[in-house]
Amino acid sequence: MNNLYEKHLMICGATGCLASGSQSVEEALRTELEKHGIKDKFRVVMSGCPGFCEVGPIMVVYPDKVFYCRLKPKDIPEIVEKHLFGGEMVERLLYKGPDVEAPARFFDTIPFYAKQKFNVLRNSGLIDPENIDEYIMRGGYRALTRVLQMEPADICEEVKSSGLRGRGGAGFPTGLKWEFTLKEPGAKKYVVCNADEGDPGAFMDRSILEGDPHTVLEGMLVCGRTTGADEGYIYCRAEYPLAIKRLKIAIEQAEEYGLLGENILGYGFNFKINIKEGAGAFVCGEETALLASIEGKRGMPRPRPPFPAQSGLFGKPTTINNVETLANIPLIVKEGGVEEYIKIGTEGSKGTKVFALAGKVRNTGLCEVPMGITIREIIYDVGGGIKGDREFKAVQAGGPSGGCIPAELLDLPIDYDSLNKAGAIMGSGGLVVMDERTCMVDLARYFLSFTQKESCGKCTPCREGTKRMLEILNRITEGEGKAEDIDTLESLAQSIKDSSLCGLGQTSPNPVLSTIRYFRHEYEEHINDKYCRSGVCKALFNYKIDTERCTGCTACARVCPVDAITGEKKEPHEINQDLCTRCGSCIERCPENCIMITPVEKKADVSS
Amino acid sequence: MKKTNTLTIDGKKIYADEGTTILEAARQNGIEIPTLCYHPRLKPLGRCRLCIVKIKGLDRPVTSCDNPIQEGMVVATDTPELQDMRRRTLELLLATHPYEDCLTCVRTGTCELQEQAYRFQSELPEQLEREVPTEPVSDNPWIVRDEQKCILCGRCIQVCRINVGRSVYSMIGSGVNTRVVPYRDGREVSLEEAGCIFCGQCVDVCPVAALTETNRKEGGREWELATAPGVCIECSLGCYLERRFFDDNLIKVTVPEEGEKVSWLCRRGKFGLREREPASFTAVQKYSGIKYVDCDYEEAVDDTAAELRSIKENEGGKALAVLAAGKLSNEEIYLLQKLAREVLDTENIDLGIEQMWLKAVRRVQEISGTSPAGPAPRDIGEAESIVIVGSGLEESHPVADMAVRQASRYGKAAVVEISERGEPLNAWDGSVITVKKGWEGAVLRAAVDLLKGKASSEAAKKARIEKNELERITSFITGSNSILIVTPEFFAAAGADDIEALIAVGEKTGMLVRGQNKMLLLSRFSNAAGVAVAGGAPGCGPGMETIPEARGLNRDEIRSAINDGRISGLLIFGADNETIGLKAPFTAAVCGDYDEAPEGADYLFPAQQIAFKEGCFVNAAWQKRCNTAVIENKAEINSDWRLICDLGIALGAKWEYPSLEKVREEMKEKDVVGQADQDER
Repeated sequence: MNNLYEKHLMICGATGCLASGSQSVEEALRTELEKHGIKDKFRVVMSGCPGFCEVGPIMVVYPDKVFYCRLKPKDIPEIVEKHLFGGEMVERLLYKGPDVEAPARFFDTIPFYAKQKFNVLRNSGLIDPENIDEYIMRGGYRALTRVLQMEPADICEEVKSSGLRGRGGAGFPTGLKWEFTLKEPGAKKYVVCNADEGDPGAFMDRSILEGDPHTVLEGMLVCGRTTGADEGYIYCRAEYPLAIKRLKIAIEQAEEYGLLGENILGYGFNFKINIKEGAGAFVCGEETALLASIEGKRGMPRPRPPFPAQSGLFGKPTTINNVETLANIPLIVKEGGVEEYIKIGTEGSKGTKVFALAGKVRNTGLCEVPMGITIREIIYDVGGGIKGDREFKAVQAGGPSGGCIPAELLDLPIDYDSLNKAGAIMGSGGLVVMDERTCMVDLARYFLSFTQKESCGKCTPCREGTKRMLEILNRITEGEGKAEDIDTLESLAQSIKDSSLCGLGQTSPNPVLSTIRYFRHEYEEHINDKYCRSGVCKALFNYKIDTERCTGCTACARVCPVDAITGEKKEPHEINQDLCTRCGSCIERCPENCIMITPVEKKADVSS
Repeated sequence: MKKTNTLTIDGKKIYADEGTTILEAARQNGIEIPTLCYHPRLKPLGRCRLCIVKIKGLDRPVTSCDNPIQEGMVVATDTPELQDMRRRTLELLLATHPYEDCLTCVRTGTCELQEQAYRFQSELPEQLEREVPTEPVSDNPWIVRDEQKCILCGRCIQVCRINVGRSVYSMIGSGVNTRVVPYRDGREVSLEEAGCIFCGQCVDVCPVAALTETNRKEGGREWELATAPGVCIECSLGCYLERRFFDDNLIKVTVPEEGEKVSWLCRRGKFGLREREPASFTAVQKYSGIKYVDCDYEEAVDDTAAELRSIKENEGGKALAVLAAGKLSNEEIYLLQKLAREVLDTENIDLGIEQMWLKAVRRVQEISGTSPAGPAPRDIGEAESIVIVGSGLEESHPVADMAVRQASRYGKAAVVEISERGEPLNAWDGSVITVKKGWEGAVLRAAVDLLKGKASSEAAKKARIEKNELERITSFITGSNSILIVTPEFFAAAGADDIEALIAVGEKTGMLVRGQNKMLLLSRFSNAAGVAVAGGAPGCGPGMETIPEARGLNRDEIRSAINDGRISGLLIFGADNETIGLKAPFTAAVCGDYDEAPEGADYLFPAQQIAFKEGCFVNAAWQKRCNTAVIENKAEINSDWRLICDLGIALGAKWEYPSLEKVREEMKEKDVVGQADQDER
């Protein structure tokens, strides 16, 4: 017998908030409710991710929609006493920030959420992901019931007309992909859900799986029903234990309800779902490598054709979709779904996109925005601007396979085609924001060292070429750059792009090409002037104290670990360049912002 | 009939069969596209990316080795952009290859990377740092691995997995530190631990010096090696091989690269010839009663002839016997049987053959009406079901075993083995029906009963075989494309009724009909078929002529006759383990080592090294294959056929064989080798 609760207390139980301590908050809450004997009146749920990881652990109280953040277990008695008993908000635990005048009382008044549009994340944070009833109450599995009464070709038509494109990176039209598998003859076909989210810092798929696993299962079921598959695999990285746990629970519950298994809902449709845990190789996100990995082989891509739609898993026709793509499906194929769906987005990119916002932005976390929103809106409205009010320099879109978008393109609308044109890609949705303290050469070097390490080693250009490029970038950032390096990088990059076997190799030079495209001057400065203006490449700059502005507060001298800063109290200080290790402690500490990054001064030639 | 597609490559209109790759189509038409990982005998690997071409309408170049042609395709193979890309790719490969070693590397001259670097006139790039072992690994007597030189082309991985069915090698690591290593159960191990059978096929396909034969450094440079095509006589499959000599020394054995003679080898084929030490004595050895002493060749021949003549005159030809171990050439067999029958007047001659095998072969010939030609290893690959009768195929005929594995894992074949083995090889997509040793024939009889529709079968009861197992066998052998392989162990234990059962199975299933035989009958003697056609067996004269009334003794009977004192003179050509204990009152043997010699034999003639042997052989598929003469025999040991002639002449025969060619002419005149002679495939 279900209780009628007075309030639902949704504590974020996703990985981000768990890491900042939501588990102990939950325990404290349960203990407190127990203590007061009111645990039957208030329901505590470890929910999916509401996105605002920056201020976690988060708890939202429904139906009041009150949003508490940065919770500690010691805050709980106060919330229970004031809010649950007294009906008053605990002001001090509400969201405060430079983007709001007064503490934001309600969930929907926080600027972070204002421009978001929850499609894929519609249930995340609202339901208990370990309870199928809550998914069903929110309209879940209705799309499945509908498609069971439809012709596969008609379902395919609906998906096609929704304009949905693959959210895994390349943006291939999903409906078309399904049609390929549908038209392929064969009694045995597979659906594979690619949950091998490998971009550093990206966690869109994880959040969906953790917050609303059933929507992914439903998407797979619809896909199976459409393409004629009777078995599905979810390839999920083993580093996502919570997602895997919730998926397992979801599969079990769906089987119990007859939504998975034999003769689903009496329509004669059979479908089962297996989970395959990946060991975390980046290349396994590439579809043919992923299939090899499921088959128990080394995760290495193979040439296409044949495409997986023709010969995929175990040689059978296979549809591979990303988590987020599948999470869109129930929205599209529900009654009247397509009309609703195409209202959002741009001409070529329909619907919403989930992004993981990271880097030097104030509000890091997960956000879902309509396609066509500008980068400026994402960074300044959703993201709350740059941390420390520094200057925005660029944003890296699409992770190691993507490219950077500079400040002059801040008003670029986000969709597949405009991002491609700008030299980046939509990718799976990672957005890393960079400010003036980010060195673009070093950034390119970072991403290349990642892809170089993750290259499976099968084809020459990717295996050896990325290493060669990395060597050159290492040299440049160490001050050993040569005049011809930029040209070499560009021609190598083109070669790797054109002649590598798989997507990993073909896109691996993107970070280099796009940083050269927009920040060529930084490369030239590194090579010709031996100067890193961002103060990142330690061999290529000096810290210098602006003696005009220095107040002699001694803060820098005190923090310097190698005693390179000297000066009398209230007198301008000076940095001994021979001792300085350019650790950056002083520049962080200086209250006057009077430590500057300057080119390395050439030592006077002793002999002359 | 394959569909023909029309396409354009480099402005040239080209017709090629549907399914052909762009690379093959180009090469068939004289258009050269550079490749490194591509190997004509392997499936495309698509790794090196040198073979990229531009296809009209596609943004990105594609690899030509693994992309099939399409009707109307327009391909460019030689644009400046492509050449630039290839050059860059090549220079990247060179950057992780220790090219400074080229001066002293054993592969210089035939190294495929070197060849491409030369063609592209590559600049030598700075070396890239790479974490791989710097020292070559030599953990076995046959193969050396030098990872420094590996270019990760993947050929060895594929040849081992698909052709050998072993999967010894695996790729580990990532990025530039990717390595190819022997791998088992999640860790890097030695080749042996990884299940290597040292067939050396990986060595033969390696484009660089990452995999080489042990001791390869001792021979000459690659371009100094003389090549002599030949045939492997380690088992009765008779695979083609190439002997590579330097300065009269056999340096290595390789597989013929191109054309119809392409084959694979096993360890015995690849390394066996080189492992064989030359004879431990070069002069004839005469037993003084205490020890062996050097003896003049002519004196030994005359003395032997005199002894044999005297036995023949005093006791008759039946007191003489001639034995050989199945490695003699057709010509030698022909001459030796002639010596025995015409000169020594004895039918006690067994040059290496099983009587039961011969019986089966004769029956096959009777029914098929042509030669007893069976399927060759390459036919095994095409089979849909394979039944193996008898144990020990892996040991006796490794290349046939490889072909079975390949057919089972990568072809269409289902496999069932009737043998005493307890478990199926896990590489086979099949099963083993375990029977007690020697009971395979009973299973065959039971199968025949079942095929004839008999309700109950005595044989099935005797063999203790379940009905469902029996049904599985019959369903396998009645398939439209079935092959039956019979191993030497079956023939060793078989009786006449087992052979009849075997033939009945063949007839009943349609494997054996007029004009066709799909049963591969494997003798343990390498040139058993040669012995049959050239007449080196009791009751089997040249051209497989049946000699009923004069039927002499076979090797087992000769053995007991010696023990009973019924044999006084014995000639052994090619002594082996079996003949060690054989000692007649007079014994002369051709052998390579004292250890192999029959104890107390009167004369030991030094054996000719097999690598230098000239002559023809007939394999189990009834194909005649020949070893051409290469070089003058460096040890000045008389060849075996010469010794036979000398003995014959010393015994008073009017023989005139100035060359082996003369022997062949005589054999041809008498149509001795018959069908196999024209059947050279």
